[in-house]
Amino acid sequence: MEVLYDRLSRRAFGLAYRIVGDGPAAEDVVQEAFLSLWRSAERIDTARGKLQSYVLTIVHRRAIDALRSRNGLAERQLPEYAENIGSGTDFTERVVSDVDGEVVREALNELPEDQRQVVDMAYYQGLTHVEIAEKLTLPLGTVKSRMRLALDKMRGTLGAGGGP
Amino acid sequence: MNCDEFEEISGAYALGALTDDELIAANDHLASCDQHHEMGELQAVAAGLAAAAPERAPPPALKSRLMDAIRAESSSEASEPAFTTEAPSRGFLHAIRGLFARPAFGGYALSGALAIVIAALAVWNVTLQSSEDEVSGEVVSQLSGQSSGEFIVLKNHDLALLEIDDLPPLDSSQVYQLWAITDGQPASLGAFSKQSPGNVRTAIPFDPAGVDSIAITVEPAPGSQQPTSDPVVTGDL
Repeated sequence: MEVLYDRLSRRAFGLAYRIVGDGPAAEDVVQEAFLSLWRSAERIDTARGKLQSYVLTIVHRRAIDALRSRNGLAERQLPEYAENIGSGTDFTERVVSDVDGEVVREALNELPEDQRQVVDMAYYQGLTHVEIAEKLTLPLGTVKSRMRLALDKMRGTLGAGGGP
Repeated sequence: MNCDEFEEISGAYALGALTDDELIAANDHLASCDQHHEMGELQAVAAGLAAAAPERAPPPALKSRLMDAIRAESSSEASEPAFTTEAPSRGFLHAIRGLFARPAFGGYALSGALAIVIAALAVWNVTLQSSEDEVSGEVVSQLSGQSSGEFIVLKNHDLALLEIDDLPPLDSSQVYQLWAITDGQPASLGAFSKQSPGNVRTAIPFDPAGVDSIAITVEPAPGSQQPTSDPVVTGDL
């Protein structure tokens, strides 16, 4: 676990900090995430070899829980670590396992502002499309289509861009 | 939910932005429909967003707190009976705990054994994650016989990873025992019970110095001082 921590803690803490926005809360998230990883070690399918993605998924979920609870929002389900991620194409393998943060940041920055905004609110603030539509006073359909357009565009950027 | 309705919410699905009810309906649809091939890639993009957060070093105190918490949990689990029976799939940690819980095989104190488990777990994960970078000094021995598998020695960590496919289950009166053979002399590396079908994966402390080969025998539980039967699986180092 120590090796694992040394290897992944900067990314884990960076993600938690990005979501919860302060150091002490981010520390709690990271500690709980690694503890739960340690507790569930026997259930992890290591053969899939997507440990970083797995760790960051736990960190993301716990950070969103902490943020929503602090903001007085109800707890909600986030998708489980998806079975189909990384199981198919070279593209998913690369994005999930080897992706460079800088490349994703660029792909995110290339999005039109209205698309980047809904991605940010969904992923880093853990809001549902219904909550986003309320906050932005937009029709639900608009929020949903912006999300899909944003992911399609990022998929194109990441697929066409660098990487091995 | 039909395909058109699913497509409409697909972006929100990948981003984890559906309401709980919608998520259930979407998962139901996906389970019965193979038309949405692009979802894996969209989810991969969404998962990649985790990497877009700037890396940030946590304060060093966090690591000590985490390790303390893990040690605290380890010692509270020490009273659990290790290496017993029934559970249909013992799992990785249980398998390792089983190997070291009994002083008859190696004499590790439990706390030491759990420290090894933690290290082994990390190394195991990292090894499978990246065969090249952090972990070097790997020697892979192909195991063959009744079942096939690999015995991967991590010289730099004094550890070995044992992975065997489809090792047949035994009844509770028997265990599989692992031996390191040096100059024809077997030394026990530990024993494990196996009462359900499936693969074996475990990590064990292992000093490869002088060891010529690895063998697994079936022994009366809880294990033997010396092998009492012919090996069912062997591998050269």
